[in-house]
Formats: sequence, C-alpha cells, structure tokens
Amino acid sequence: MTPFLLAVALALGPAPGDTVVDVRRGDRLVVENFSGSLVVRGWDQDRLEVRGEPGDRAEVALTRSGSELTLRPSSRRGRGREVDAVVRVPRWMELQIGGREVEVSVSQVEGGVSVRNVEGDIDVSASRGPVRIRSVDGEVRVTDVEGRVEARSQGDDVTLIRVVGDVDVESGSGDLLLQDVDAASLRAETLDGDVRFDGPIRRSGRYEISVHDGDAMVAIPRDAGLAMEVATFDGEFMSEFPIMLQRYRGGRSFSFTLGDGSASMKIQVFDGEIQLRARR
Amino acid sequence: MSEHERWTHRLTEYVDGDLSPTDREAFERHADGCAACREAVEEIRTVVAAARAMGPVEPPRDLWPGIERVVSRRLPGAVERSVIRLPTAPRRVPEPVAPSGRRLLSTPQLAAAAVLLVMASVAGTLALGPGLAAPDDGVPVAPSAVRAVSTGDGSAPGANPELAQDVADLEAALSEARDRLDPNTVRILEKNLAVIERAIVESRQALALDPENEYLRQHLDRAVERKRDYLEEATSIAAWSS
Repeated sequence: MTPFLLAVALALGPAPGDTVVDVRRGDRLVVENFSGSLVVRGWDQDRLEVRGEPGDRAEVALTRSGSELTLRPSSRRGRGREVDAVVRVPRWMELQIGGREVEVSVSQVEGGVSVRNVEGDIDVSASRGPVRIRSVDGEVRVTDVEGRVEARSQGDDVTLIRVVGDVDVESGSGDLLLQDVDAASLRAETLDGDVRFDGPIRRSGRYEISVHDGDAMVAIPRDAGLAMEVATFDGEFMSEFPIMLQRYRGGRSFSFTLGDGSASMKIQVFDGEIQLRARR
Repeated sequence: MSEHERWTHRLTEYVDGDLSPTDREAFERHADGCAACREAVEEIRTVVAAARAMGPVEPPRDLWPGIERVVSRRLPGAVERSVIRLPTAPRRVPEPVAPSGRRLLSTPQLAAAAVLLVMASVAGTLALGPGLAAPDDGVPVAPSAVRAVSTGDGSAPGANPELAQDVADLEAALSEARDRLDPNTVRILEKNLAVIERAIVESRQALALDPENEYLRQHLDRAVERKRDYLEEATSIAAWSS
C-alpha cells in the first residue's frame, strides 16, 4: 500500500558513518533476520545511523514503508551471513529486533524495545520500557530499566537488575535473578533453575514465583505486608521471618500473613527449597 | 532424531492414553518392529499394575493442630530464623532419562519409589507422637492424603483434552516444518522441549501419587501449557527463520 520511500543498500565496511538517514517522531525501526551482533544506542538526534564493523563486507538494506524503517540483510549478499552492526537511533524510537543467531545490545532508548532471537545473548540497559524479550537459547540481561519488562529465555538465564516496573519472566532451564526489582506485579517461572528475588514489596502488589526443579530465594523488607501462599511437592520451606500459619491447604501447601498482608505472594516449588529472607 | 528416539519420549503418553489417534497408530506401527519400545511399554504397564495392587492408603489424621502449636511458640522472636521442615520423604519421582535411545522410566525406580512413599507416609504419622514438640527440630508433616498410583482408567490425571489436542496439533505442525529449520535450531528446540517433557512426566507422576493435591494439578496443567506455548513459539520460529 505504502510505496517504498527509501531503499539503501549498505555495504558494511571499514568506512565510518556508513549511512545516516533523517527520521521523524513516530517512526519505528524493525530489524529482521539478523545474524551476528547488533548494538543499538539511543542519541539525542532525529537521525538514524548504521555502521558496520571494520572488515565486515556483508550487506544490509534499510527500507522505509510509512513510519516503519526496516533493516535486514540484503537478499544478494547478506542473507545467511553474519553481520556486526552498530545503529544509532533517536531515544524516542520504538525498536523491534529479530534474528536467528544474533547477539543484541540495546541501551539509552525510551520508545520501547522488542527483541526476539533463537540463539545469542540479549542485553538491554539504561532504558525505559516496555521491554519485551523472547530468546530460545540466549542469556537475557536487563539492567537499569524503568517500565514493564517481559523476558523469556527457554534455555538460559534471565537477569533483571534495578528494574522499576511490572515484571513477567520465564525460563525453561535457566535461573531467574531479580535483583533490586521494584514491581507492583511480578511473575517469575522456571522449570529447571533457581529464582532469586530481592526487592521492595508494593502495597497491593502481586508476586508469583514458580519453580519446578530448583530453589526459590526471596528477600523482602522486614516490614513487608504480605499474604503468603506457599506450596511444594518435595521441598523445604525456610523463613527468617517468624510466621503464624493461617491455613493448611493439604499436602504441603499453606498460607500465612506478614505485617498487614496488603500485598500477596505465591511461591510454588515442585522440588526444591523455598527461602524467605529479610533484605539486607 | 530417529523414529525410535521420537517415541522414547512419549511412551508414558501412550500408556496413559494421551496420544492422539494418529500418533497412537503411528507409534503402534513403530512398536511392531521395535522390541525395545515394546519392552519399555510392558515395563511401564507392570509398574502401574503393581502400584494399583498396593491398594489405597488411608490418609493420616489431621496434623495441622500440631503444626500450629509448634510454629506459634516461635512467634515472640525467640528464634529469629524459624525453619519449617516439610516432609522429607525419599524422592518419589524417578529421574527420567531424557537422552535419546533410553527409556524415560525404570521399573525398579518407580516401584521402589511407590513403596517408599507408603512407608514415608506411615513413618510421618508415627513421628508426630509425643516427641514432636521440639521447636528447633522442625515440624515433620505427613501428607494429608496419599494414594497409590491409579492411572489404570486410561485417563491421565490433570489431562485437559483441549490442551492436549492443541499440543498434538502443534507437534504435527512443527514436525512438518522441521526440515525447513536450521539443524542447530532443531537441536536447540529439542533440547528445550526435553526439559518441558521431563517436567510434565514428573508432575504427572506426582499427581498420580497424590490425586487430590490441587497444587500438583495446577502445576501439571501449567507444565502442559508451557509445552503448548513453546511449541507455538517453535512453529512461529520455523515460519520466520526459514
């Protein structure tokens, strides 16, 4: 429907400042089918710059369709080859990045980030969300982000450090490390790995942690107000907080309240240890 | 993955009657020429029959008042770090062997686990006698209801037919797309799928041991949902990465 307004074939080579195009507020960048490494940095200019790494001769194409700019390996030389590229974007620009085997690093953006790959580590830092990451087999790391974070790695660890916003994280066979995470809604689930959560508890917040084979270690403030539900099939529950069990749900499930119980937390571990600790 | 390897991960589904009619037929065709699969199926059936023969185990008496007494005593801050030691029955879920070419279940493991579970239940009840109230020793809690495996009716505990059908459809779709995928991608997908499969098998076995356990029922449902979600993801990857 919308004609291509821009089509630039970039031979990513040693020359600096390979391509710079003007963009307008509301434009979004879509990166498709990348393999290799992609570094995206926000800057205070309404321009998009694509640079290749020295020595890399693969080609990528940047096209525009309406408000969408698409960066992808060119069909002739780039497809299937690894590309290492550095892209500068306006901070406000929304990013949607996809690739098979690609390492992605994004920082200093505020328009929202979505990254999806099969293999390769993904790192998002110093940004505002929403951040949405789906990796089949790469490590995911999100640091110093404000806004909702949804991150999933089926085969590797997911780490969130200094995140303020709602959190939904999953792993199949990796650990989930949630350090200094300030969320009103948090869900963390792994099948084969540990979950470590260390953060404040919001009034009326909802927190759900589920582990199949691994441990759940939760560190919360001493004055946290929580209605807790704990369930395990074959595990132990250890608490640094004095607790008064309120309801025995049968099996190894029970509930108790800390403080005013204004927030709720559910911790379920099929086979592993549940540790409830006070934040240091 | 060879035809044989494909089925070694799904033997319990076959025995439980969880395979779709198409898959069931395909497996039986394979089993006609595969002695190893036939033997494995027979072993699983033997375990289920043996467990059923043990009969139901009466739930122990309500243990909660004892727990409450002990835990309440800790409240005034006398012990900063209170520990509630939940039942430490021997591990009841046999380790499935995921790598190709081997069975997911071992008869001796499963049979031993079933017997130990009953013993642990009885032991837990006995342990809650006069010697219970030692605050620093933790509170052993016997399961409120433990029953022998009862999957003989053909319906796997926790099975949601619609979800199972979704999973079967997605497996078929992924199988068709498999040839278009990069071999490394296939390897990764299968490795991760094996983790989910293992969780499903363990959850299903646990629920068979304690069918009234709502947590286990939800846990199994969630594990199957994870499998469906992952298969959706995998088929989606097949679409955009090929």
